[in-house]
Amino acid sequence: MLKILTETDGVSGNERAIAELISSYATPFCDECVIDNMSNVICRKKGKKGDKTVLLCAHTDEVGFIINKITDDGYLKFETVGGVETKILLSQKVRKGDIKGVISLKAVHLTDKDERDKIPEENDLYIDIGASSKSDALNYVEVGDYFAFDSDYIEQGNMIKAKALDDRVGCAIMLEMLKKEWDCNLICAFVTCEEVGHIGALTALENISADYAIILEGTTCNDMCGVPDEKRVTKSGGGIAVSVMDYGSVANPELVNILIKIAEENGINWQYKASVRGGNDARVVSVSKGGIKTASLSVPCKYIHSPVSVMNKNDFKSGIELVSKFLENAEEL
Amino acid sequence: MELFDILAPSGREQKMSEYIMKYAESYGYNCRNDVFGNLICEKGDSIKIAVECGMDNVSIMKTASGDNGEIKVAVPNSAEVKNLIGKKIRFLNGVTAIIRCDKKEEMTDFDLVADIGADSKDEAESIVPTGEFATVVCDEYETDKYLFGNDLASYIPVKILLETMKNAENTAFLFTAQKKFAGRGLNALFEGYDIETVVSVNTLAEKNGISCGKGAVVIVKEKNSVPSVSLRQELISFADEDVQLGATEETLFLDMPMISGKGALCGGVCVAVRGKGKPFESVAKSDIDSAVNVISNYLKRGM
Amino acid sequence: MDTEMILKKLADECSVSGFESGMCETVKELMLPFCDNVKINRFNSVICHKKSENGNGKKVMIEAHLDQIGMIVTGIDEMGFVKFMSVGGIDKRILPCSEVYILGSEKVYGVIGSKPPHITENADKNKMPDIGELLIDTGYTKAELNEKISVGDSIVLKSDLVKLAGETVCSSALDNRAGITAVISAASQIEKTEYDMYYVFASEEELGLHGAYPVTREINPDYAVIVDVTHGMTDDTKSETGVFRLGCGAVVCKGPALNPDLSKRLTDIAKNNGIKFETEVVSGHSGTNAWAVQKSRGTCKTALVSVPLKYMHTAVETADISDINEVSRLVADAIKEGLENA
Repeated sequence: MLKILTETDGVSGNERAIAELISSYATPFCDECVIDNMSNVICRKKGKKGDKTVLLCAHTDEVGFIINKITDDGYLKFETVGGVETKILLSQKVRKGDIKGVISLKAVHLTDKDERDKIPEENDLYIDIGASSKSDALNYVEVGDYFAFDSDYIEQGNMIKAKALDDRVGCAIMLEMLKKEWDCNLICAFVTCEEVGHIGALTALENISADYAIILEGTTCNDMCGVPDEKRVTKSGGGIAVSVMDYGSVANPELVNILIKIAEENGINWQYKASVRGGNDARVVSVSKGGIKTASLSVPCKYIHSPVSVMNKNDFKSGIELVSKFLENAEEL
Repeated sequence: MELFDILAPSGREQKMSEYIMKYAESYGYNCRNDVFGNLICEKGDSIKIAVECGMDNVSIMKTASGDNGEIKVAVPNSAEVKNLIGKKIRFLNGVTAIIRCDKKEEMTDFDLVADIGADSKDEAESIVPTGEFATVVCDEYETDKYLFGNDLASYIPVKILLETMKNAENTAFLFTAQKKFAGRGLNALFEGYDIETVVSVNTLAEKNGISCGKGAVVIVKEKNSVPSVSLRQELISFADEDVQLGATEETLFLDMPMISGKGALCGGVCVAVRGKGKPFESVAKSDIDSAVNVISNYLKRGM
Repeated sequence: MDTEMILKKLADECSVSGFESGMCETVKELMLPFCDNVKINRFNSVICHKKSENGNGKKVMIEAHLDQIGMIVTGIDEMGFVKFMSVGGIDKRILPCSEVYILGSEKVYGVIGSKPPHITENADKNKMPDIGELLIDTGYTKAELNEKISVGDSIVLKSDLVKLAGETVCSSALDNRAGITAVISAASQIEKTEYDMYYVFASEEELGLHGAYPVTREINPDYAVIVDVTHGMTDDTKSETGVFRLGCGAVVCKGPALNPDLSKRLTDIAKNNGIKFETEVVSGHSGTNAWAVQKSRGTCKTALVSVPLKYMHTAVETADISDINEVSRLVADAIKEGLENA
């Protein structure tokens, strides 16, 4: 399922296709499944006892590109959507549906040393779809179109590589949770536009009340030789990462302790997210309606926000286990 | 050891060539120099493999005398200039000098001075004439496991070949002149000498995973080339001890045999040198033995 | 023979400079129908010989280099990341977040990682990393990797052949698959000829034109036409010279290291036969095997024809199939109509 989720394109602002895909998977398992104006998918499932409500939240959007100009020769100028480093963009493939394009600059032979060392600027870059002129290009695209990275899902050993692991991995965990029956009520919010300012979540939250909220994310992992421990953020294979604090929010300490206790008691592999950099939808969820007790659980993803993000299968499994156990016990908290 | 006392600046390798020739002939090799000055030693009738190394060292030429008796020199390979500072050199006429330099960085050979112990221009002129060649004095010594010397790296490949020659049969041993001069001697050599396969012996710096004392290094990549993969695999598999695999940014000229003349396949065997370029480089004796071993095994069983 | 089909067959094989043996076999198979015999020399260059009709024709060599740029494994670190060095002039700017295959005893997939911005030191923040700082992540541990790959194995950029708009195609290694395709296609159009034909695919061009030297000396041709790629015009080179719009046809090179009569003969044939072409000027070393061939055999009349290629030495090299076809037509017509001016 993670394969189909990551291979379906949904750049922030263009999530309709992924919303419909998720809805088609989720609907058989919930009481109500609604796609709203912002392409958020909200699934509600009544619990066997139903005193407590848990909100799980993951975003469906991925980083990508939006076309802002077509040159006379048929090249597409673009802006990046969400945090994409230009350092990684040279020689990448992108796509809009079946239309393929490449991002590159002139060949290295035509550069001088300064150009070769320089990180390219976004407005120097362009997408080449093979069009011979502006009018030719207009047969295939127009200004305002979205392009996603063209990257397929690959498994090797314990490694899974795909684009958009941030945050299709969170969506995948939530879809697993919908398949089972729980004592507590469950709301799964698959929200959009997290990468560009949490606007999906904000809209979705207007109609949601919950006792606990867990944000499910993919997060940075710089687990390589030569990186000091405090800069690794998470370790690949180190288990599901529990956030304590980030630039957007402070996780509810009570909820964090519950999660850690459950992990320890059930032998689930877990680690702290050892950095406060970055942020996620917890920023808006935790302040909704006077406050919801919120925590974040993340799967470590190396090379996040690139077409080749990499995660360890076992961390994903640990994530599923921990959220399951939490939901099992939520009613009694 | 006698070998380390020989001075052989690029372009003036005669003394080294004579020394090697005498040694080789004592082991039954037929020896000759080509017009360029390269030395070719052959034993046997149907020679298919040659082992090659350079026989030269850095070339320093006297250009002018200073008013205070210090002399000025030219060094054609600019990369070698900073490594000469503080070293003892000797001209071919026997005069010893010390190289000094006041400039701290980006120095060229114009910034070097050589002190021969003279105090006037005339005296300097009479001691060392303009155009005289010099090279670094090795001052070699050994410890239990290591050899030490200035520019030791220039001599080690020769030593390896001399050892290997003792028991080799049906092989050519090639000693290249002016190899430090952008590999020119190699070009001349292989334009005139036909051979199928060459094993070229060099040294490389102890870094990037290569260590002294851990055995000979078989080269998988050097600046100019990827040595023949099949030849590399044979060198490794015929060895009866562990070898190291080396990928280096240094230039070892392993492409020259292929692009000169009819073309020969070329592989590279090296030993690691600690402190390469710095005063008193050192080499593990066991690595030298290992290199001799690797090459000898290959000669017996290769191609 | 279908150009796209040839390109696809070539795309299945890897041929990093120094590691061409697999590609040698593929090219041999493709060329056998069009010549009398094919041999692979000790340097992994492929030499396909087609005898002349009357037995005493002059020797013509049509050459396209067989190898592609890539990388080589130099070590495996404690955490199982693979260190590497480039083979040929790979553009280091493309390496962060690119996908590769390591060709060991197994083909191992890997990703070249990139340190994210919030942990890079300020000094490094504005500079592209050097190759020595990059590592390949395979997901395997060091112990697992030691079973599958070793130092000295070759590494290629993963990039499947993709179609863009029109007749444009994109993949890694179109330098020089585009050239090889043009030569194979030309060979398929030449049935009988007065010339003693040698279709040659030389190895190790990207390392320094190595394969071209021994093969030229072995064959001793009277004429040589080298087929390679040249730079395609991109958005950021619109106002530069020496770049050619995709779709402009065959690019014929003129300059001091190339025979002027032969170059003129090629452009005359193109004009007469309605083959699209452009002229490129190179005042010295063309950076192609034409230089090596002319250097090794002064008596050989050498020419250079190229396929325009955008983004050379990246994973997304882009060419127009119609240009490959124009090149192959030009070469074939030149052989059929004769290389000397009437």
